[in-house]
Amino acid sequence: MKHPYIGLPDQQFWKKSTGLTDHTSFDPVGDVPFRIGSNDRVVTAGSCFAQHVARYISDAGFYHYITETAHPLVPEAVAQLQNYGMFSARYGNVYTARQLKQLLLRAYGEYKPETTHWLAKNGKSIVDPFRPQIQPGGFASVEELEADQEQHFEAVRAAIEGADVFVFTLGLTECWIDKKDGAALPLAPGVAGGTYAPDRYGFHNFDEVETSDDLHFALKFIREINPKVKFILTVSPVPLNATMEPRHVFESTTWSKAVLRIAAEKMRRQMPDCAYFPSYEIITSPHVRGRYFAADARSVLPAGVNHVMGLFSKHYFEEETLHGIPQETMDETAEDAVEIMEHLMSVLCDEEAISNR
Amino acid sequence: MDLLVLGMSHVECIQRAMGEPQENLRIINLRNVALEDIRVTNPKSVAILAGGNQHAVLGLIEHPKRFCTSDSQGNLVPSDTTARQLIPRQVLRNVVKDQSRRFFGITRAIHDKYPHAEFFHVLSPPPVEDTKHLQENPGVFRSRLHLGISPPELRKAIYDLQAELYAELATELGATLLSPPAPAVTQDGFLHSDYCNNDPTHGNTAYGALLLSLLRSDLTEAA
Repeated sequence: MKHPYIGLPDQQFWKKSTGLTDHTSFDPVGDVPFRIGSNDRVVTAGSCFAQHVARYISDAGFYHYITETAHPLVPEAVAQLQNYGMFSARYGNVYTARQLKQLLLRAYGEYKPETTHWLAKNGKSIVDPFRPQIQPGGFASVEELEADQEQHFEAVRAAIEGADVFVFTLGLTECWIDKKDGAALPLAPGVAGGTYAPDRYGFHNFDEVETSDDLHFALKFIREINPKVKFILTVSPVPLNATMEPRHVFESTTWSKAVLRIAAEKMRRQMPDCAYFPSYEIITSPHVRGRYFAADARSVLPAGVNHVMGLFSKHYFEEETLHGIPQETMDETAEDAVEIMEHLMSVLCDEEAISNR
Repeated sequence: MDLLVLGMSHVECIQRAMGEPQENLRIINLRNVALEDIRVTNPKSVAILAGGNQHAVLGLIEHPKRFCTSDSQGNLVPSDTTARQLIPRQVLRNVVKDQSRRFFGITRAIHDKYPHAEFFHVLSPPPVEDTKHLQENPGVFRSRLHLGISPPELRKAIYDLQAELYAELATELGATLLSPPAPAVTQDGFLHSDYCNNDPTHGNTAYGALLLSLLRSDLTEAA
């Protein structure tokens, strides 16, 4: 008896897919449309999880294209603490597709938000509403913030124009909007600076249509400037830290991740040289039985990051430098607990700043 | 022993001003004697001048990649930022802190050595405003002069950051912070030309005399 499933690859069948008995062999990555050479300039942006991607690209000996570096006077350890080199430019976490779209428009002078700066919680220093935690201790003045933004936008333009591959990790759909002009803010005013004024700022949860449209706009915008660029989209597996929707935060998480996954899928189908990499699936799959989440059931453990990036390396890097998944880091032990905590602590996550106290 | 003065190059002007050795006052340059080798026991007061030239190391001479920052009022310095990379003030503060780590470590060790003493932390002299003086007296920075002397307001901003950090350390350790003597400081906060040594960063003997008198008056007040 013939039927349309005969002859299809094993990966399309649950029972025959890899990783059912040995989670380390779980590999949901199918054919990839292109590979990354060691000289290809890889630009990174996105949510907290994208910081892991960025770090691994550098560690694996590939060219993490960083256009906004600290001045040479600044020692590397100090620069890292000031959030230089975390991504290609010092934009901090870009959680929503709307943020990415507006970042590009601002960098190219096509959009000037009405919200320009906030006063920090200490009442003295100045906070960038679009990168609220990028400068520990804040900026010294509005003038300094503006000068830093000018440098930042130049670096964003250099990254876009010089990229061979642009890796974007979609993180959130929930956002705060300036009602005056629709500026999308990564954190609500009042959390890390500014003052919450309900008549001025409002909550918005982007649906799949808005997210897809914003993402499409952003990728098209980048490609018009840099026609040779290839895209890799991923979805962050990190659950929401908080939701403004009056429901359980996990219900909001599944909704948001579904929206982001749909938007990424639509781009993969619509745009040439646009790939989807299943970070979200690797971490959250039943195959790994939750072992890649830390005790808080939210933070991704190094073992999970290693699994994700091992597969990224295997499928995308032309010269494999990460030889599979390092087994010794697969599970948390008492010995490496401190190291794991340091590792987790080292990821800048604006969203962590949100609490109901 | 009433007063023990410990430090590096900035104790030299006090030593010169003191002239002959004095009873109950001892000045030791930690470049010549290791802290653990100092035999002075139970001084009533200790004045520390550890480091103090970090601002000069970072900003006296223009960096090959020129930079600007903000002063304590939030103004960009120098005001002409053309072809300069901004180092936000908070970033630069951390750079100065990093540079000061060794000297702060020594300061803490001195406190540990004399747990019962009263402590004074003495700020190093502010930068010299006059570029001509610096060009004529470049000291150890002679080989870097071709890069140019940094604008005074930039040098002052870095010094102010350094002073802020020393003030925080003094508060943390319960020491009295002694700012540069008022007569030696211009209205704009630079080292007055009458008190400049024949090098770019130190006070001269007259400056040392002012410091000595300041320390003595503080000691009298404390008594």
